[in-house]
Amino acid sequence: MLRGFGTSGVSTGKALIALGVFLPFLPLFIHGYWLHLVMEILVLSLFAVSLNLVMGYGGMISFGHAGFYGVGLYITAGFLKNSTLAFPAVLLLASAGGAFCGLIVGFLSVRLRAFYFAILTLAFGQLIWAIIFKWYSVTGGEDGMIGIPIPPFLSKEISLYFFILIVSAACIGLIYWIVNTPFGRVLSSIRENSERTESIGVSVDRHRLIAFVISTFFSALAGGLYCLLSRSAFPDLVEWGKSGEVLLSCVLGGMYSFVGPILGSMMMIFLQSVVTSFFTERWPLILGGIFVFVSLAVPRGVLGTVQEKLGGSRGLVKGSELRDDH
Amino acid sequence: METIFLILVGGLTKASIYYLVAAGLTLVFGVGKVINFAHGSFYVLAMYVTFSITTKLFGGSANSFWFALVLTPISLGIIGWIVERFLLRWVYGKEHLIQLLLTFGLVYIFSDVYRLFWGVMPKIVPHTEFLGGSISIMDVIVPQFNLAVIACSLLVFIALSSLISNTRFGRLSRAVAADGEMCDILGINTFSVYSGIFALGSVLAGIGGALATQLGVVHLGMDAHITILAFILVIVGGVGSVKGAAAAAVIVGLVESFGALFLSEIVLVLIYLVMVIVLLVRPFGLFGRPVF
Repeated sequence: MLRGFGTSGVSTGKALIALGVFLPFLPLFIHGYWLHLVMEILVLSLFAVSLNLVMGYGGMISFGHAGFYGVGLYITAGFLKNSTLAFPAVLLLASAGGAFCGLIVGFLSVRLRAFYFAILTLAFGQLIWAIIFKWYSVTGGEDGMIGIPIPPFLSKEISLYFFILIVSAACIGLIYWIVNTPFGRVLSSIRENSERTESIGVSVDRHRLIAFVISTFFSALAGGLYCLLSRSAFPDLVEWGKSGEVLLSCVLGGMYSFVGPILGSMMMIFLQSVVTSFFTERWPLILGGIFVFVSLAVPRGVLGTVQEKLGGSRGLVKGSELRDDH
Repeated sequence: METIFLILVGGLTKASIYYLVAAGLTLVFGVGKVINFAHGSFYVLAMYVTFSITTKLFGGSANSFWFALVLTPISLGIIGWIVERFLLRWVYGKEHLIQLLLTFGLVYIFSDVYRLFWGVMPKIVPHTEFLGGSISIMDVIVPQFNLAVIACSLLVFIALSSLISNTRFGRLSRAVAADGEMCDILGINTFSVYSGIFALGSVLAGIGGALATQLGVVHLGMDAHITILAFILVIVGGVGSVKGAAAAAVIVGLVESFGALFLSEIVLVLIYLVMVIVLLVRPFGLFGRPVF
């Protein structure tokens, strides 16, 4: 089952560059709540793109990525609150922490087939949540951590915006580069047909593990960035609900394109802010409804469906009626 | 010595509930080949429904529980049938991702349904008077209800096993589990088998949930835990194997109970470890055959 990559004619690189040129000028037009929203989109985009390294490119569905995001978030929160470690070091430590967890989880999970992998990642994500939830002395448990001090050079909204923009753009760019290296190609090949790829001498498990660790590194980084935005850390950002949100961001935008998750993140944040303004309490209901709708009607996501309509015979996405044999 | 016996009983009680949930899930997998993330949500729904039946329908009277024990599984069966017929049927045979997405969405929806209909406060179901007391076995005081749960579960096990091996529906289910496409070709109405199995799974989750209300409080957030546990049990026991579900349930139930005594905080980790070890040694579970 061949899944073509691309953005229906518009090259991914051009799309990214366009965003990169447009975004720095945004603060001229918007401030406050809306700028904060854009920053949330940037963070979620990084999170989603890193997840998509595993999902869209690696072909492994992970239901527990919020766990790694949470690790990044809490490590950042903890160090900012309780130590004087320089901020870049904190962020690096948080990402490394996430990657380390990713190494353990990945090592145990990537060798298994898709379904088992999904369950295992869900289970481990919940395990991380449970640890954070119960470890009251370190994480504040259910109460979470609030009043996290931000480094002074980020105290102005505009500096925070540019910091997050630069970091997330750089990371997304890095992931884009990774995906276009031979490593990335091999990964796509594994996704298409792991047995065949193995038979030409590629270590499937090792590639999957490396992709997983890279992904968790950036997911944790995203978590750390979010800490700057929210100045707090709560366990519900680590639960399956959050895993589902980032997963949906990938799927909604289109799992099989690089910018799909970015588009999906925009839609997700936008939807979330609209829903919480009008139907404050019913977000899970609506989110679930979107899941159901997407799975039934647009499983390829927005970009994927557009691709299907326009791409036609470019050896692109075949219908989802074909069974996928992992 | 008495403590060991008590823990044993506690573990077996847990195992009984777990078995009921896992058996339903493993049947739906094995026959329908559908991944139902929302199975745990059915279990939790059953608990809330039991609460409503005992308090609203019967005004909280002490033995109303036994009526709920009959009514709840029936309602869950109906709800399950509806979900299967109108939602799940669209994703048979599709990529696993799509099935996962759909049922994952259902988990979200159900989690909000609980909030919508029952609020955020924990609910306590009226305790039954009949079999509500304790009984003394070998000088150890054991709650009667725990024994009742174990007995109930054994009954279900026997009933399920004979359903699968001796009835026409059981034979059809096994056939569909072995090769659904061939069954279609042979003229068997596989869709009604799917519906039946899914309803059966929901009924089992209903029984489990109803029984569980007597053993603890009903609160939000239980769905994630029980769903993961159910999947672990199915994986450890082997997809499609009811025997496997029973074995896995006993193992996990006992590990949880004895683990809580010595290493309470890391019991969860222990269980995950059990799952990982089983998967590494027997990738299809203890009694399973290659399904996925």
